Amino acid sequence: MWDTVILDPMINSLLWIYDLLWNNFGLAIIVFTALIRLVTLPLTLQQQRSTQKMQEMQGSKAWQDMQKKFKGDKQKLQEEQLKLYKEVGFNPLSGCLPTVIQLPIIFGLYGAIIRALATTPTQLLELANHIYDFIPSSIIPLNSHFLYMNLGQPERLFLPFLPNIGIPVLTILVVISTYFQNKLMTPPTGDAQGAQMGKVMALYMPLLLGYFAYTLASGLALYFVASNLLAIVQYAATGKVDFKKLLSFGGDSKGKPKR
Amino acid sequence: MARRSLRLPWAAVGALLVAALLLTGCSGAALTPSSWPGVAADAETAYVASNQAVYAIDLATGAQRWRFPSEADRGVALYAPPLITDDGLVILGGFDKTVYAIHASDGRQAWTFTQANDRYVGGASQAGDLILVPSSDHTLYALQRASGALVWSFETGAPLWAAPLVDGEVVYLPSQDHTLYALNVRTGKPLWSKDLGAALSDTPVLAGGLLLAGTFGQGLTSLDPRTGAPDWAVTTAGWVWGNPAADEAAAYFGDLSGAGRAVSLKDGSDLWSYQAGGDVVASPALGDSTVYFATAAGVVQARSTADGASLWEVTLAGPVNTDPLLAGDHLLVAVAGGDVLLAALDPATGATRWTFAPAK
Repeated sequence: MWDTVILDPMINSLLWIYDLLWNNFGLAIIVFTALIRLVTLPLTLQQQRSTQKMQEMQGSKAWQDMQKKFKGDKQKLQEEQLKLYKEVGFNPLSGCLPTVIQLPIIFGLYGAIIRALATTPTQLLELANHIYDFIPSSIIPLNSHFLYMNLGQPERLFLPFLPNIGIPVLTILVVISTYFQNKLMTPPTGDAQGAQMGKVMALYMPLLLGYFAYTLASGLALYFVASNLLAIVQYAATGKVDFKKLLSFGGDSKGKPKR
Repeated sequence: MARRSLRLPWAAVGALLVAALLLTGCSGAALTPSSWPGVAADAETAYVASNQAVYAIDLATGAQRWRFPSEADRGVALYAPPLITDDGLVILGGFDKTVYAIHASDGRQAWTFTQANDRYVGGASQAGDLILVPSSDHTLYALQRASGALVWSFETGAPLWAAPLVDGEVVYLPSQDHTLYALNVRTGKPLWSKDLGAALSDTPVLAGGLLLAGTFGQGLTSLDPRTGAPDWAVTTAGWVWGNPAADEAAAYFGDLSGAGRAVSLKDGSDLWSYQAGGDVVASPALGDSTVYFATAAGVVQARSTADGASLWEVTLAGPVNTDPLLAGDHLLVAVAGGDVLLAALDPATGATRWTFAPAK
């Protein structure tokens, strides 16, 4: 089911793009990531609208008053919050749903990249059983070289004056672009728990993806970087991005309790 | 205040860890072995490379004689078919970019070669005092048999996953860059090369004065071994991964569409074919008037070379993508991913004589 609906179409799309783009797997990953972002754009926009609505609501006087009034009674506070959601016509699940729908796509994309690279016999045999008839077998094995990288191996850059030290350039780019994406796109929240969660995600997500980029095939790291940069560009196109946020290292001022 | 800010929302951290597990799990790499076992045998011993070790197994009893390395080493991954040399060495490359030469008598290491930049998938070949080892870094390394010192190397355009065929002074090298190369064995200089239009992943075969090579481009091609000029070609429904077994009249091979077939060596015309019921990755083994096919569905089938009639069939508990091997009076079959690593079958009936499962 997973293979038929998600993975096989993704693998074959990736191979088809690779065939069109002069057998350049790096370009194929970037273009494929852009196409996926385009297809999921309606979901992304819906998520952004939902987040904005949530922010507006949390900034309202009714919300602030409610927080003060039921500070000591969590259950009552939740009941009142649900009432307010109903009044303003806000569905708290509407923000999560697009993310939930996008998760299989992200996992599928990752699986497609790893399987298409097929650097071992088992992977290549598996790939052979997933290829549609219209994909020419002459493109196998894929050319995994892009710029100075082998996309099937973890990436390291060796400079002439530092021949024994491999610099993980893509890993660094993954960490920085993930941090920037989180920083720019995570909205401020009036809720302390939400703010704490945002901080943790902003710290751990770059480290986790950086670890993947450092240890796994660099094709995946290229996907992370392309995906992060495209997400930022997409968000900037909506006119909501605030690049000043990149310079605020102590978290979002709007989320801080005032003295 | 400071203590409060350091508290982690464990739900978020947990979600990240689950996502990490899902991501690594989605590749399948964490769960399945990277390749299937490699098998070779001399008169008394079978050598099986699988995962973290190569095992020497007594052919008569199926008992383990030694294993290399003697202790489990997570840095080692061995899948290439071992080469047994004239002077009693067992040589094979690993996924750790190292070629190991081991004394066949007791499993002691003789030498290693570590200059490759990528893993070894295919087996090595012997050409007199040279050992030829194909690497995934696109290069064929010619090493001194006694010391492992590099003599020459030859680079192609894609990974090399199969042992070269040595015939006198010529080395026939199959490459995934779609090309079959003929090289001078002493110098490594190319004599001719032929683009076959798709990747080659197994050792070519010399039979009836022809060079036979299967490709991922749905076909088996025959060439003139002196010039590389094509003779006849057979089209198949699936990739031809394992190369044919051949006698004086016919070539026997399978493909990934699940077909097993025999074609005439004269002109490539069909003699017989059947559906094996699973991907045929392995090259068949050829006995007296019997050809043995194995499939990724774990089925081993004995067929009459004359007309393809079924003689017997057994199903093992795991894929059989390794070439079955006739050794002594056994048919050796290696199983990928099961408890049993090697089974010795009676070639006449398919009955199991012994099995070998590595100690856990």
